[in-house]
Amino acid sequence: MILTDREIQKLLKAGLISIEPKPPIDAYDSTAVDLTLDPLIRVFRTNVPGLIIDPSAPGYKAAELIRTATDPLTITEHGWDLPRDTLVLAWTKERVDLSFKGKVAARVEGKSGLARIGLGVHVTAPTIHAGFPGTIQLELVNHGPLPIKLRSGMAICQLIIEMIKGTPSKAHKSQFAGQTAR
Amino acid sequence: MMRLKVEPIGEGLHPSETFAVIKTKSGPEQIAVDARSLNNGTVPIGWPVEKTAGFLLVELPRPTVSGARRVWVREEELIPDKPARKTA
Repeated sequence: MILTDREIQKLLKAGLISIEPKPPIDAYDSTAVDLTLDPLIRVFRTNVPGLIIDPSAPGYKAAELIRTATDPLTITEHGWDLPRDTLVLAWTKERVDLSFKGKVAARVEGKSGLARIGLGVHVTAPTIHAGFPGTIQLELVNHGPLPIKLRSGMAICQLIIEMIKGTPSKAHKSQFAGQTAR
Repeated sequence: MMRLKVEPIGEGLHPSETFAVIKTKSGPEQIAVDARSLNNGTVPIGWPVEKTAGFLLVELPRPTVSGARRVWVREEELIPDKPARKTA
């Protein structure tokens, strides 16, 4: 069940979930809240001779590969043009904490106005699991015919929050009540 | 709830993240953790979801770099997560 703007705000007010910095009232629509683009992005190098990504290889480490195959870039006040057919990694400015107490999970999705010019904000990985804390990593891809200017703080994606049914195992205390591991 | 011991090893891909190593039954695994969740070398993991001799199955806040979401860890890798005391 997707939460309305009012339900999201109730959870925030009750401290059952958090979004920091707090989104302004005009960042909401009826069933979502917009999140904004952090200035730091990571841009893939296109000239890494011999590098072929083999995610099934033993010992494959995505983060190390990303670190060696990308360069950090801070978007200035002039913005940064995302070329066509290009993937960059980005993050939301907002830190989201979907505490188990709120009994919610979420999906991060694109905004229609950006979709129509070809900007995708994730690559088939939109789920924000119950209990997630942190900024949300985005995979920005320009599928359109023209460069798209990215600006720090622009509304880049929307967060759709949904109620979960039941309690996840990791939030279910009784089976490990009395746990005394040190 | 419980916290999992991690060994921070460096900056993540973004300032909001820290790279860390966790000790699992099948060996060390690297993971990017939310820097603000990191406290005294531990991160919150809720309650273990399964138990076997000497090991607990825990669900990580994020997948490890090799993609594992639930990992077996030794019991001693977990410590109780004390609820924050209310202050006036």
